[in-house]
Amino acid sequence: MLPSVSGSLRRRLDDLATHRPVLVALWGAAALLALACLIGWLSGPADAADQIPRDVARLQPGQEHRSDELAVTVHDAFVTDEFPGQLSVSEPGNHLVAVRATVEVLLDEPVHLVDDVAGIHVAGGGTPDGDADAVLYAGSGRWIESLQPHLPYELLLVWEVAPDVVDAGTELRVSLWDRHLTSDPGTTEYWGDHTWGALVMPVPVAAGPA
Amino acid sequence: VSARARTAATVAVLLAATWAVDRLSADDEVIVAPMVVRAHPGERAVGRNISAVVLPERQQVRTATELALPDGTTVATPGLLIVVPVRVSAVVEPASLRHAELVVDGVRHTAVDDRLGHGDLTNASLSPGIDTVGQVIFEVAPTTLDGATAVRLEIATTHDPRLDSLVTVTLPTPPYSHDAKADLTRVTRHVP
Repeated sequence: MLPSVSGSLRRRLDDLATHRPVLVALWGAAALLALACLIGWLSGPADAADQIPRDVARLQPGQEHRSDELAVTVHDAFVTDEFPGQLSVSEPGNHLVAVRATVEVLLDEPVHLVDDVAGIHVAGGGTPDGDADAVLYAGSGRWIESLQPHLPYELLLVWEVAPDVVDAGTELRVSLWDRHLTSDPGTTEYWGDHTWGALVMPVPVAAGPA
Repeated sequence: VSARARTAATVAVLLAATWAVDRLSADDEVIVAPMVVRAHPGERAVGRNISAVVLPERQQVRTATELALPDGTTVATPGLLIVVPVRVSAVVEPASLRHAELVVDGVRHTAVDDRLGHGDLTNASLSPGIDTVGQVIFEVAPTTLDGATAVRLEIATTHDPRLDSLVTVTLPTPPYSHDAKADLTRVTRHVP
């Protein structure tokens, strides 16, 4: 024989049975909301302030980032007005911001810098978030147009910026964009389809070359 | 034979023909492939608009870690600079050596033309019938030549040598004579 229950408890069970569909719906909605939050936390733009996706590696200067194509280590940055014999500002008062990085091609073929400056961008202090205006070989300060395979190059990636945009002490954020081997119908394979691979920060700007 | 059977046979024949044409057609890459002109070191190779001798006058491939340019400056590398002497001319119209690659065991390297002050052969103008003599310089990782078994030079007067002549020369295998500092010789012109 089933145990008897008191009158008040029976009423509570009856109420629960009456409202059960509502409770199930509420619990279901809560579970879905929690799942959505979890997915958003794992993949979505997490830092609302700077819109940096969580899957972008955050590195300190000196730490290496490797993609399928390149190994890139951002070291430091400095501001100057001229690289004698190679490069000078186009507008009086402007400055040149140079980011020093070691870049090695991991492929068995060269990478040409003319079309895409190794996907290295800078931001911070109002600097342009785009390809560098010039890439110089740090050893000689001369222009360099292609990187040969499996040879680490110390490069200076140079952007021209307006007066007072970047000074000694400014902290840059350097974005490293990865290229992936891709192809369009009717074309041969090429390296493109950029994804944001890593963010190096803070990269302090010095007053001149070290 | 019923009309339905004739239709089926026609469709089958068309499908078989399509399959055969597809199998017999060359790939796009083959259709536009370069016209390769192979030569040995010291031997003249002649293509549509290129006539070249790689390692002329018994000259040798050399390596260096630093290169002195004619303007008095130097170019250094953390790897190795490979110096390949070449004698080359255009054939039908003025040109320049727009394509120069060194393939070491399948790893491709383009000529160093951007840090040499335009003093190497890839920046020289080539005239029909007049040999231009100079060096093509490559930069490789320090260990690239270690144990290398196949070293090939490819040169052409078009940046993209597809559908044009491509001179390929198999170079002697390393080791090569090494100088800590080598000179980039000035480009000279000779009437053969």
